[in-house]
Amino acid sequence: MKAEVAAAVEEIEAAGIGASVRVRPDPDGGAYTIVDRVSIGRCFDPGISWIGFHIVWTYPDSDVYPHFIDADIRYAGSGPAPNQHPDGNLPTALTRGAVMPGFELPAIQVSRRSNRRNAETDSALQKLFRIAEFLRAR
Amino acid sequence: MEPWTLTIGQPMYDRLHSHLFPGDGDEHGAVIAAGVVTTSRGTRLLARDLFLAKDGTDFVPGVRGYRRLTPEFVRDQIRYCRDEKLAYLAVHNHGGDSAVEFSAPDNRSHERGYPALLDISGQPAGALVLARNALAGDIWTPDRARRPISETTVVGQNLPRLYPVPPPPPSIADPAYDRQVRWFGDRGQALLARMKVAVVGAGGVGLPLVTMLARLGVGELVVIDPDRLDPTNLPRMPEGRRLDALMPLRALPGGARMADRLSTRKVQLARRAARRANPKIRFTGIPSNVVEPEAAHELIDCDYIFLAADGHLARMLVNAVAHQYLIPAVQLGTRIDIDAETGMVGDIRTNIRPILPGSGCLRCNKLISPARLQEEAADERERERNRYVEEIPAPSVITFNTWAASRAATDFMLMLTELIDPAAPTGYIRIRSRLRDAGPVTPIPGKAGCTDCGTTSASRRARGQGAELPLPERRTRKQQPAAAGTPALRVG
Repeated sequence: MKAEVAAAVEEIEAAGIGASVRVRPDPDGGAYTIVDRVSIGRCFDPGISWIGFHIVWTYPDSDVYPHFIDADIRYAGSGPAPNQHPDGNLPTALTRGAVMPGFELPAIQVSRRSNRRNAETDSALQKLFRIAEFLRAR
Repeated sequence: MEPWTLTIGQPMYDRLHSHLFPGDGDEHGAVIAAGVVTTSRGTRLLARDLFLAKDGTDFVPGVRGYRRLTPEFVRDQIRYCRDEKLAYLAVHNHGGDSAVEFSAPDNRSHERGYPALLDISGQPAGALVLARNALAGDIWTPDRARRPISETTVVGQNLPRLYPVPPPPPSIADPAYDRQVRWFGDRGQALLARMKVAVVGAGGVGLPLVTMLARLGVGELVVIDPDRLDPTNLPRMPEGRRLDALMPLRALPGGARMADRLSTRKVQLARRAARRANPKIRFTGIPSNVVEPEAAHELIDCDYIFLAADGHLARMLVNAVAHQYLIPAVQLGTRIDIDAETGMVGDIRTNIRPILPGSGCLRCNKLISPARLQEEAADERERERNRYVEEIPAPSVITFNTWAASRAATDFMLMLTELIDPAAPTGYIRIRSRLRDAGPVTPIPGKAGCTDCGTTSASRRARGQGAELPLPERRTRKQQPAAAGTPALRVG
């Protein structure tokens, strides 16, 4: 694992968000990472899920996206849920039928690209916080 | 013995030259801290930091010679070089113009001082002496060997070369080059023949570049592209034949998939184009992505890099190589905007973006997308899964591509032969075809904190082999058939 990726994983572990962190190195120096039992808000049932993502070897130059949450989550909020699916409609930016890479877990993909990302200030941890916030705000 | 050379960016050279030659006819001093890189062609010192010695304070009347750097000034700079793992180069000037050499007192002071400096820093230490248009060097290495600097390249708008004494006249160029030798001379032709040039991407822009460079008489080409020829490439690649794309096979049931795996590699097409232009050319074709270590390390030995690939990983890597090794580079390509809803053609922009010391950093100009890096660094299976919309190939047309290639090759030729007008604008060039307009675009200046071109200790700028390139740790994925395990095609 590249030093910058390892440091990002350590930062996530040290932040204590969620119950635990699972990490699988990829072949190029990146890391598939899952943070377990993160609160994603009352608009989802259940309101706790793992959040997974791939920190690729080009980090911190690269963005960290997309993120993934458990495939069994259902949207229970009253906001717009335009992404229609037989297993339950979802708010914008959330798509069913995805797979969390590295762990090969069925997942919902959360696509939040950071178009104005600043490598010096935008860490994988901060992005994780923002994703959790985004989900809680649906 | 392989030669030792010096490479210095134009902004630093201008500062040094102004300091050494203010018009008073006297001697002045400075120290350069330099990165080092050794390849099969020799060792290059890469000027990274310049410390000007203040007259009367840091540069004072000598005890045994005319002037000397004070022990305090030397101590501070050698410690800096030790801490930063850089070579230490003490600089002063003599009179004269196109020839220069160390005096006897200079050489005696080197013999007294440099063994001790080597002990302190553990890095090469030595001296440079400049005349107005000449530079000589005496470099001591940790094995106590002394190496002269045989050539200095100033990397800027032009690529002038300095020598201790004027080089002997070149041999008469091959008569086949008569029409171009008539304006840049045998010396220009000889310089082209010495050049090792990389072309990253052998597609619609890269392949015409290869053809032009080989026909100009460039001596050695390194061409990097992982792809094989596709039928949709044929309208933009004059060297490509229908047989190269295996068109007969594609007409058979199930033949298209097989043809995709067996069609001619683009680097093979490039080799054919280059060898057809110049049978004596030295050609290395590397059928892999430029971020594969074998390909990336081939770049560091090149004198010039053309980046004619679309990807942002390639931009990241080439930008890093250009700054870390002070290799002039240029990124080029055309973007044709099409409105997805209406199909209306918008702007058509062909960009030629030189990457030089102090100018044109792709990172500072926000031309390396964090999102694209994420996408390209993931493996192919992951990219397919994460894609929410079908990826549509970008429009591409031969006329725009060859225009970009021709413009960039022309710049290279004029830079090498020092024929770019000093008053010409530096920076990027943008051609907007629909407006029949071509003009300069001033790049965003480099940022101090940039990891490629910045001035902080964290920057890789001019560190040579003293810094890591941004490369993956290893590549073992079977999903990427043109990866590191694929042997390079090497044609001597």
